[in-house]
Parts: sequence; C-alpha cells; structure tokens
Amino acid sequence: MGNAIASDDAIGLIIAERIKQDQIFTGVDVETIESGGLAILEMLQGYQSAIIIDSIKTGLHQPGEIIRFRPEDFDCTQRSAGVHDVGFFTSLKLGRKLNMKIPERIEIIAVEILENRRVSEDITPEVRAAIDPVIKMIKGML
Amino acid sequence: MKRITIDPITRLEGHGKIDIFLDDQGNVENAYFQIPELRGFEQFCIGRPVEEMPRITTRLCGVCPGAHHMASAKAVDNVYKADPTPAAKKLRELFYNAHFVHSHIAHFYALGAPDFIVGPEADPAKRNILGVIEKVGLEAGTEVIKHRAYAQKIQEILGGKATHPVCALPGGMSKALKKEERDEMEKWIISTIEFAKFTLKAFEDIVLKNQEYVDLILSDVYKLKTYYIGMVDENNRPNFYHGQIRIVDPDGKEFAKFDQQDYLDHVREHVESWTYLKFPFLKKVGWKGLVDGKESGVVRAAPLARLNVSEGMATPLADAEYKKMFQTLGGKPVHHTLAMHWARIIELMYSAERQLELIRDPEITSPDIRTIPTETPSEGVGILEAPRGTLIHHYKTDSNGILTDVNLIVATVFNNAAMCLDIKSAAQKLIKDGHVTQGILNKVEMAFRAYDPCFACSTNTLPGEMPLIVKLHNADGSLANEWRRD
Repeated sequence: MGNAIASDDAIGLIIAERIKQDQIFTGVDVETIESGGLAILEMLQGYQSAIIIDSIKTGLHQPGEIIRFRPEDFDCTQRSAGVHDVGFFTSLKLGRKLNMKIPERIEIIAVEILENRRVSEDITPEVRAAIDPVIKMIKGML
Repeated sequence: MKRITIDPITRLEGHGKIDIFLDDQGNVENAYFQIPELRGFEQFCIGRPVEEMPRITTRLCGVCPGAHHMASAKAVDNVYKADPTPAAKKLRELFYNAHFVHSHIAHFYALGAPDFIVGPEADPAKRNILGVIEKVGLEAGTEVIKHRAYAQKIQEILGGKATHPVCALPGGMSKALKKEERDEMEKWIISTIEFAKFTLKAFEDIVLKNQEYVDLILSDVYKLKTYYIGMVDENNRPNFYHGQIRIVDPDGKEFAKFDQQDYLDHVREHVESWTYLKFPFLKKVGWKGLVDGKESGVVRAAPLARLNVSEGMATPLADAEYKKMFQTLGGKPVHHTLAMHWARIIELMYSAERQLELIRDPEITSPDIRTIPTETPSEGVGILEAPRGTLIHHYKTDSNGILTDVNLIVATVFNNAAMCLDIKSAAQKLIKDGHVTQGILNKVEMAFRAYDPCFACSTNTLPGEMPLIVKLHNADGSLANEWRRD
C-alpha cells in the first residue's frame, strides 16, 4: 500500500514491485493499491492469508525501522482510509460481519518513514534500506 | 480565552484540525478549520510531458482519482485542441457516472448515515458503518458492498485499472467497449437503480419521517446563504462530465454562466496566513472575508450546490426526487448544509439512470474512440464536477507539450470558506458556557462532513496517533482538559 508520488509513502509499493519483478515467491499474488478502506476489503476477498506492506509514521522509531502488526493491534486508522471512506480495520470488521470471504490471517509489515506530505518520487535513503530486510522477513513468514 | 482543538478529525484522512476559541464566558468567539496539503505538486509536474498528467493527477487522491483523471484528460484535449469523438465522450461519461456511484455510496453509508441512522450523539464507537449495518441489517450491508463493487468493475473495465484509471488519452479513449462487456454492465446498472431506490426509501423512512432529524437539517445551526456553482447541460440540468458552469446567487437567480476556458473571469483565490488551503471566491463579487450573504463572494460546490444551480434532473426518477426535496425543504435554493446528504443520494440515482441511458446507446460500443491530435500543444482547461464539487485543471505547455504551468482548483477547496463558516456557526450555536460533550463535538464535525471533504489525499501511511484529540486550553495557553476518541 502507498502513494507513488508522496515521498516515503511509496515504500510499500516499491517493495511489492520488487517482489513481483524478481518473482521472489511462488504461490502468492502480489497486488498494489493506492487507496484504502473498502477498496482493500474488496482486494482481499477470496484469499486465505495476506501480508500487507505499508508505511507508518509514529515518530517513535528510527526511519527505516520495520514494525510488525496484526489488525487487532489497531482500533482504528485515519489514513489507511480513503478520505471519505472507512478505515481499513473497520472495513475488515465489516467484511467479517457480512460473512465475506476474507483472510483469516492478516499480517502487517510497516516501515517507519520520515516524509509523506511532499510530492516526490524520492525516498529517504534509510527508508529505502528497509527493502531487503522486509523481503527477508516475508520469506520467514511464508 | 479558552481554546478547544479537535485534531485530527475522525473519518477524515490526514491531520485536519478544528480550533475553537472560547471567550471568558465559555462561549465561542471564533473557530478555524485547518487542513494539510500534499506539498509541491505543481513543481513536480512542471517539465513533464502534458499527456502524463491524467495518470499523475490520479495519485493526488485515493478517493477521487477518476475525477482527476477525467478533468485532466479534458484539459489535455484542449491543450492539443483534439475534441474526442462522440463515442469517446460517452465512454468517459459512463465511466464517470460509475465513479459517482462508487463515491456517493461510500460517503452516504460510511460517513453521512452514521450521524442519522446511529444518531448524532451516539457512542462514537458505534457511530460508523458497522453501527449503520446493525440498524439496517446485514442484507442491506451486503447490498452496499455489492453495488459499490459493480461501480468499481465498470470503472475497471472502462478505465483499465479500477482505482487509478489509465483510459483517457488526448482526443479520446484507449479502448472501445466490447458488446459482451456492455451486456454485463447493463445488468449491474439496472441493479444499481434498484439500490438507489432502496437508499432513497431508507433516507425517507429513517431521516425524513423523524421530525427531530428534519428539524436538525432545517435548523439555523447548519445554514449559510451563499452563491452556488455547478456544471449544467443545455437545459440547466446537472451533468457531471460536460456542459457549462452555472452560478446562482443566494436568491437562486442566475449570476453567471460560462464555458470552462473562461473560469478565470469568474473565479479567483484568496490566501490566508493560517491555512495552506486557498479560498476561491467570485471575482465579480469580491472577497469580503469569511462571511456569507449576497455581498460576499463565497461560493459553494458539491451535490446541494449542483441541485441549487439546476432546473431539474435529466433523468426521471432523480427528477421526481429533486422536486420532492425542494418542496420538502421550502423551495430553491436550499441553504441548509445537511441537505447535502439528500442531494447526494438524488445524484446517486441520477448517475445510475444516466449510466443506463449511456449503456443502451448503440454508439457506446463504437470503435471510433479517438481523435488523433495534430495541432501544436499550448494551453488548456478541463472542468467537471467531482463528487464533492467543481474541479478545475488548467495547464500551459511549450510547443513540445512540456508543462510550463499547472493550476488546479480542487472541489473541496471551493467549499473551504463555507466549511469554515459552517463550523463556526455550529460551534457558536452549540457550545454554551464552556459546556462541551462528545455529541456536541460530533455535531460540529457534521458541519463539514456533509461536504464530503477530501484533503491531502491518498497518503496511506498507518496512524501514529489517535483519530480524535480534543484539547481545551485556558486563556493563558495551559491545558485545561483533554479528550481522546478512539
């Protein structure tokens, strides 16, 4: 997940594209998405498990630090919602409530970022350095 | 003086913030609405080939990429002076009305409806789409998801990609519609018309038959007398993709009607030091500050504005509902901000009906979808109606089509002044003697939520803070109290 032109916010998309291009994993589908909320719910439908790679900006970690979450770690989110959409985690609850076929297991890998409000395709070097470690982490999860 | 801060606003992406300043008696002296913006977009674009713009601008917003794609495409058509073929225009309009359906369903059920169906003062933890589903039933929830998905599929087939379309090229479209795709879409659209009927019926049963809610809509808390702007067809009925721009005054009389390339004769932007967002205003009236009324150039866009500038809807079911709305709310123009929710679902019906007209047009499967540009590129304007209001793209290029200037006035910006005014009005009328509850704060938020604002779009970064923080400051700046809404 991410925005291709919002500086470090693109990190999730860049990692996904690397995984796709290098055909690193077999038996998995790799998709990118630049919106949130209900759109992610629609994308996840039909899968047994999912790993979501996204940026996070807490100010509590060093740029490029990788943090793992599960959906239950979040009560809500503002920004992984499309603006006028529901939050990602609310939409997951909605999907389960409506008995939609969504993954039982969802893991979130977040990379701490520095900049996401400037329009740019440039990524902070420390954030870019997280690409290989994230891929290695995913290898250990599959 | 005390200061209440609502930051960031729930159900709104980014770090929107409301500052409410209380006087010594605990009543509201002033209120400010501040929002962030992605910085540097214009610089990012300059020096790039103009034909890249319909794909770049979709990245500005994860919610309304379809609107940016189409406004940008119209501007690029004009840069190249390449008028799209009739079939291409119809395909674009079909795509675009699917985009409206997708957007309006999300806003109504996920953001607007919780305030009415669950209740404006309900527990914030329940005042969301899950609470709505609890009230209206799981079956209705499934229908919401299903019809949003239909609209998404139509956009995907026509647009190449569901979220960030790539279909519009200078002078037309990249791909014709196949007959089998047309047949499939027709079924989805027919179903969507039924869903729009269900939505309007639910609004009538839950909102209009509840006098408390009708009183809320008609109250002075959410009322501004402003000018309105929207795009209309040759019969002054709303069209979201093409037509002329019409402005009416606070009495509902036509103030201006113009073609898109003439927008600078009518619209200018004011800058305030306390916010990144500009304030568009009517040039011939002038900027008189954050005030409403006929002497103020403040102008509103979005669904209610589109209906206020129009003389009916171009499709039968939407037109019947249009008449009912104005009869119920006391005639045209309606100045009550919360009526925006009703106007939005009338537009949902219009978009569904308009799609059916277009999909049944024999020309919709024509292979003649492109006018090849032959002119030297120079300058072009593209205006259309985004779900949340009038959207303007204006580009200038050198003779090689390389961008030298970019100006965007996005739909939410048109409503910036009105949202500030509505928030101040709601805060002043609802907060008395320093008494603030979660319900009151939500009612303040309702003032801008009706506009379906869209700021700093498409940054998907996970949250580092709570969705809502309310801070109460004493006159000396010290913190008197703090509320957090999870």
